[in-house]
Amino acid sequence: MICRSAVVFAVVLVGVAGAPAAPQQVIRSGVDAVTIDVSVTQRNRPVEGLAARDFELTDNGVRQTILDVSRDTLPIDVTLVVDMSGRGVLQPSLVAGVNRVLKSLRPGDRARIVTFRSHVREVAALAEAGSLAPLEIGPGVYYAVSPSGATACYDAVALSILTPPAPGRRQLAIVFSAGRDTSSFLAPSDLLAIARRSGPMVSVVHASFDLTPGDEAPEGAEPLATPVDPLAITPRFFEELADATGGRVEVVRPFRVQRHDTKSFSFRWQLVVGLEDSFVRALDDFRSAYVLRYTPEGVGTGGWHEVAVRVTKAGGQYEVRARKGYER
Amino acid sequence: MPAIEPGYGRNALLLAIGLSLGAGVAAAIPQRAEGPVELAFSEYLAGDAEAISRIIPTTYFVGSGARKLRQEIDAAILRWGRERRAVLAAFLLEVAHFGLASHGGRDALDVLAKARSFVTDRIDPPGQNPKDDEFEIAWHKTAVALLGSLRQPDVLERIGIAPLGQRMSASPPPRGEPRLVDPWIELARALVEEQRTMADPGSLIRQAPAAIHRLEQAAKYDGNLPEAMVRECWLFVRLGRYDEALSALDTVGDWTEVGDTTVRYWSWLFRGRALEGLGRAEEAARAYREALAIVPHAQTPAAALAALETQRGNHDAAASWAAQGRSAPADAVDPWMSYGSGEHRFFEERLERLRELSR
Repeated sequence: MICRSAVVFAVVLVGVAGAPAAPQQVIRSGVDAVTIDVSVTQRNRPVEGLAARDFELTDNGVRQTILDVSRDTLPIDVTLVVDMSGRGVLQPSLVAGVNRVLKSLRPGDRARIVTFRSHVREVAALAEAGSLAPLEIGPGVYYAVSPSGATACYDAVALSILTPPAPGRRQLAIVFSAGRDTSSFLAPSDLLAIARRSGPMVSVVHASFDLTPGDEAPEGAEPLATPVDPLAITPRFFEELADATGGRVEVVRPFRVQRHDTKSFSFRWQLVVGLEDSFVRALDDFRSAYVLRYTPEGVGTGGWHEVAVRVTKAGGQYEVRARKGYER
Repeated sequence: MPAIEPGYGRNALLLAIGLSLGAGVAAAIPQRAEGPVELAFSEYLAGDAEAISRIIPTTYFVGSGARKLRQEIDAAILRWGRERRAVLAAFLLEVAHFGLASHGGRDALDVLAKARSFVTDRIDPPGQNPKDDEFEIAWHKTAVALLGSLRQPDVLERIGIAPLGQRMSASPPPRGEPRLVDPWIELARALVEEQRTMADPGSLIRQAPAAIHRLEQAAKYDGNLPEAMVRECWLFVRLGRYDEALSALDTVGDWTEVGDTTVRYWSWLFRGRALEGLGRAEEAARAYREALAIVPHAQTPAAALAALETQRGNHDAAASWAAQGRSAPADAVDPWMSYGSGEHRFFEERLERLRELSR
């Protein structure tokens, strides 16, 4: 999370400091302080016990002094952005995933729930996690059901991650997508530009519907060329989206697909894997990230700031994920 | 209310018999058999259009269920085809609609193609019987509106447009050949070409010239002009030809005179995008706000404004537009969502008119 408005950041911190039991009191930010979430893993496991001296951070190419490093101390604002298009078979699993995240949040954490098909709907505004009712399958979850199963993923994610700065808090957006976009007005490049400049880390759960002929084709099936879905969102796009914000992508294949082409393309599918765990894994990943704070020195104040972080501690290869930059 | 019963030729009946005999099912179907399709048709005849979704199982549109669907339709045709051809054509169109909405696929489209045979097999050729002409035009417009939502231009052309090739023209033919006459056909052809530009990542560049040509043809007729030009504008925006996009909109002149709210809304939305492309951010923001003034709870102009303000570094304004966009009332309609579906936005009203004409 980048606090792009340093003045607002400092002022709000003063206000928050008076609130009882507010964990963000640990921060004594200077006027120009910037915070950034950094996820460090080795072989997909979070690396524990890193300190400021173990990181090297550059802002627009200039090495910075890290003032402090914290981990799992700041409260979290999580926005759950859930694609509800399709024929409903995934929905129980999606609702369960959302509710698992709500249950995993701690006192002081907040959540917002946004669902979308062609239209976007904020079904639960940002509120203390404990005060939110569990999501239920029903009319409230759906929104303007389109006869063509339309879905506007780019627009929905853009509208969901553009949130006001939340000084002293960390922001995460967990996006579930079924991997299609039929109706967005915004282009993928618009969403990437927004993600780079917005606050939350964006982690994506991407349900892939793989129609490639597998080993299970029944006798007599003669697999034809797999049709290209012109409206599919490429896995590469989700990687770029997550990469821009320091987030992660988990590709889930919830369906077992059996092709039985004869004269025409044809298949059967079966739901075999739920999505609940993926949502919680995205939250756990975010919790395990380090929060680095520094005051930019030797760089201009305005415009785009490119940030690069690496771990200098000896002990092997580290996988480091962090936002690629911020705008002031 | 007197029934309007277009006079269809014997071909439809022969087709009906042929279908049944050809499929080898005639003997298997008792004359009075009443499966779900026939029951639904009886109710439909009595004015209950909801009977289709209430009575016909959705499984009739998938896998082996389709065989029963075909058998029962053939039985209904045998029983009712002689006297109730118009209402049968409307009924089968609605069955196809139900099939597409529930499972989609070939079987529903086969039903639609079968329905068309009851529209086009007429005693009088097109242009000779105004009532038959009106019904035929209404049926095809409804079918085109239905097929638009599939976003499969080849299907739209094959089932909705191509059969009209020798039957309909935009203006009366010079040598007085009998034709259905409706300028709408040019717009319908343009919609097919426009959908082709959306078919795959490379199709925009490949198909755009044909689509622009068709839209220009359609725009020659006053009734088509606003929609043809607003669609041409969007095509130019997608091509990055922003000046031409604005020129297309300017062809229309006074947009406040355009009665179709949806098309007017699109015009402001697309004008905003074109202006953005030209770097005229302030004017773009004004255009998006005009779109919002037409449809106050539309999410798309809010998303566009949020993106624009982000780009301009106005983060608070961007967050505010985003909050507005995601908190629209649950019943809010955003006409942008229907843009890619051709004329699907007219489906319900056209269907209602078709029902009236068929009874």
